[in-house]
Amino acid sequence: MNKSIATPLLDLLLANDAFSRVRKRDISRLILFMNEQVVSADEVLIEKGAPANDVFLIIKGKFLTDAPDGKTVEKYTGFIGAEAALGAAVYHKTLRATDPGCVMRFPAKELDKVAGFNPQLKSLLFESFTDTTLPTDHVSYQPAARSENANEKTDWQDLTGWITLPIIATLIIYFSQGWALNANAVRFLVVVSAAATMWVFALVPAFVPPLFSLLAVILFDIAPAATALSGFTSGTFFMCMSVFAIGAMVLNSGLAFRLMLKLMVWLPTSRTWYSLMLWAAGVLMTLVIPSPAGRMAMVSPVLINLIESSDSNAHCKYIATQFICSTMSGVILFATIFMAGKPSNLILYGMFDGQTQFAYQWLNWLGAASFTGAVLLVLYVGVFLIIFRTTATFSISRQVVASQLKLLGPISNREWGSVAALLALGVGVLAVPFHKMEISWLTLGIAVMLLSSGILGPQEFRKYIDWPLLLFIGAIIAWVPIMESIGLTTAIADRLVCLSRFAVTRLPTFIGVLCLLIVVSRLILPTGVTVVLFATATFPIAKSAGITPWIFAFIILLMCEAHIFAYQNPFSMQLRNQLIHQKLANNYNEKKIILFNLWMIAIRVAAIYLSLPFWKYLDVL
Amino acid sequence: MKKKIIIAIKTLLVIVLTAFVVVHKSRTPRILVIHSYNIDYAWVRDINLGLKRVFDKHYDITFRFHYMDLKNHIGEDFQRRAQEAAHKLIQSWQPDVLILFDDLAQKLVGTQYVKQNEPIQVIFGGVSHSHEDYGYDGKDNVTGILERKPLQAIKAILERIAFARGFDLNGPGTKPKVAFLGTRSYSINAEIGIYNTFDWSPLIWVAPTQVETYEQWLDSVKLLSRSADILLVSNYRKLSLKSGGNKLASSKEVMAATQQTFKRHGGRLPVVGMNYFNVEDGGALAVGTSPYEQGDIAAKMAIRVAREKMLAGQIDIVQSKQFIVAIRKKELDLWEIQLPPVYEAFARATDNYWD
Repeated sequence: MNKSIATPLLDLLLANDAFSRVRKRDISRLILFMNEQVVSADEVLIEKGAPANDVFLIIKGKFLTDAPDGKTVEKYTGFIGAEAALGAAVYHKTLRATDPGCVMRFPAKELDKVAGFNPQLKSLLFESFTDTTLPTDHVSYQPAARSENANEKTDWQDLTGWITLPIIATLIIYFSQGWALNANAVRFLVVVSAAATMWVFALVPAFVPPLFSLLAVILFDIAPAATALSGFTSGTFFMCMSVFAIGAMVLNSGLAFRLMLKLMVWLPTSRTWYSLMLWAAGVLMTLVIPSPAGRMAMVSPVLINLIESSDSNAHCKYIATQFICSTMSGVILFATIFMAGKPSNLILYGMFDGQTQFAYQWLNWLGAASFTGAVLLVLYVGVFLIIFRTTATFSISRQVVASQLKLLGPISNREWGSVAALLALGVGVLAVPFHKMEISWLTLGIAVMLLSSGILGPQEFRKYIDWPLLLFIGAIIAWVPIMESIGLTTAIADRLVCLSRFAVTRLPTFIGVLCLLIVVSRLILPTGVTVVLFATATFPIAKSAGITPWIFAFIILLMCEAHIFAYQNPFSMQLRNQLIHQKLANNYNEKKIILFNLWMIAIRVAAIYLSLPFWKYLDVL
Repeated sequence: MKKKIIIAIKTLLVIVLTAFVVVHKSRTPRILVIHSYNIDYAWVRDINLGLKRVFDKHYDITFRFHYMDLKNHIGEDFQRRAQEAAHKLIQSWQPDVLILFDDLAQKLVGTQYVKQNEPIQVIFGGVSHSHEDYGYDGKDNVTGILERKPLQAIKAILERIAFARGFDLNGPGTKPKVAFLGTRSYSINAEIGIYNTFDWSPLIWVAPTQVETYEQWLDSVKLLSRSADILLVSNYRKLSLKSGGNKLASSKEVMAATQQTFKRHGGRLPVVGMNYFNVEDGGALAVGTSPYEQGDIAAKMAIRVAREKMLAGQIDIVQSKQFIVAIRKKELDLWEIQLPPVYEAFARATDNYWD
């Protein structure tokens, strides 16, 4: 197991040709995923047609495979099963050991990530693959693991979706005759309904419907092209791009990882402190990494390392479950409290009118959300102490952490660059009254400096910024101006006048209904889509009711990030897959996690209600 | 060594560039425009057109617009929140010049910033009250443009339509009676005295009526249709559906019902709006203060104050001079009234003519 990786083995790995030029920070992260495996004579290491999940690096021993011409090929060095890291779904060759030996096992996905930044490693993987397969045996690449049933289910889903889309569009055209809407408003409703159907049935990637809507608005002359494209020319678009770039920088410079390791070294080795460390790491990274998935990618290796150090008995399962819950809540609990805590916040920020954007940018957002954050913290600690009340003890060796820190070496220029970028951002935001620069351009300025100084390379800029998400944001934030320009906002507000009166006179009930609808919708809809659809529906109500749209946006964002099952959140799914892949699925208690998630929903709702007097005090309500 | 030199040069460049940006931004004038109402109100939309005609030539000045939305939401609680939001914005954005439009913005915001030794210079526009009502007189950081109804122009057009409908204005015959109906809004309260003292002759001025609710409005229209020949209306956007309630009647519904009721109960001439956008609501004819002039003058004053770093009080307060005529031909035809072509041409030129 990786916890037993000793310095000599690490030295061996570093001395290996394949890893001699790989970035130290990548090896440092990879250590947490790799396992040493002893192989006996005649043992079949990989079998042709089996799912290709792992890649093996030969440390010692001889392995044989059959070539297509009937001859056998011997292999002493390099990788085995390299096709797994090159995108293959199944192994193309059977390899067995002829003598007792030793290999290092790497999860293919993790090795592929490292290879993405280390071209020589990619070349070696390819060479290892061709060593054993040339001449080709015509095994075709298969798409990534999807069972036939899953395919059938998707086909049915697709079919239903594509049939539903024109039906809904036709119904809207038919019924809109009685709604006294102008032609452009009807057209836009049809476009939005088509986009919503594409999202609900997952007919296309999530960023495609906003682009489709943008195209339709321009081609059908629903609104001026300048309005349809206003999202791409707004400061918010460039702010999102810059924030993602700075986040990518922090994520990939190794700074966040180093801080994690330092935390592990500084904190006492006990169950409570490790739990706190996992949680605090997620919370601290919420300040600097605008992606829950990115934060999870940073914390999960440490979590996996901790879980691997435990067994699957009831006592250890309990502790592992506690660690998982700490990690998940650390990653997401305060994501709505900080404006750049997650991309959905930025999407809704982009959908605000200019006045609301200015009133709730960065520190103002934090100020308005601070009380909710404090309530969440208190309730979270209470719930956590109730659910995970135990006297069980836990500790692990710090040997691996020490090895990792040693590998990272002194703080690199890139890490210093990240520190400088974060400092510049923090000071810049605080000093707005002094420098009078808009925060959008301040963030862009920092990103440009990172790029021009070479701290953030063009390859990383391309690879680590979620460009489809940026396209999504650019296209979606034009929805509100489009609706305004064609009179749809007023029309919706007029028709939902009873709802807006309800929102004014019985706000607590309205919020309760909104929370319930969001929790139910999230069972079938992904976060981004739910956020956009609920914002589109509730912002006109807010306007008509004389309530700032920030309140509704905040409630939507807070409730959307709550989930019950792992499939509802990508970062949660990401962790679950990693645990399954590391064969740790039996080392924690899934039911307890679901119970914890339900509690998290309850404390979110409670935090919203408890914040109402505070918002009244701030004149937000 | 070379790398260290390169890093040092890059760091120095970043510092110098940042310093340049900070210095440049600190010298860039900032003008904040605060409207009492929202952009969906035609008056506000057209004031902004007037402002932008001037602002567009000054891209090196930073502008920001803020809408208090006090026409759509009339509750005291909303007013307090809108006031607080405006103050927060001023405190955080720190404008050099503050442009405040309409009376409520003066009452809720202007009074806080118009004082001696205040660094923020204030320009007002769309003010129906006297500027003394807000304590602006004698203060050196304020100037602006007062909004006064173009009563002379209104009188001229009333005479014209009365003549068209057979009234003998110069002879011994019965002269048309003119009545005014409005709400008890803050701005109408300020103007009503001016209407009463204006010389409407040869027209006969009937004592004006002010109401609060939509129901009272329609009842008054019925009464006035019997006592007056011409009905002048203004500022009906704050008519509540119920007494003391916050829900407002739709402006289009009010105008449609007013015209129908007035005609049905014996009104002899069309209802005439005292705001040009009354025709946008469905009215037949309106004469009102020009919003473009309000925006244009306020913008020019603000630019001058910002550029020349002068005190706003050094510029004299002015009164509105321009007016707008708006015509809805279909409605006017119902009264068989032909106006001189110059009116139609004027309405068309300002995009206020509806076929």
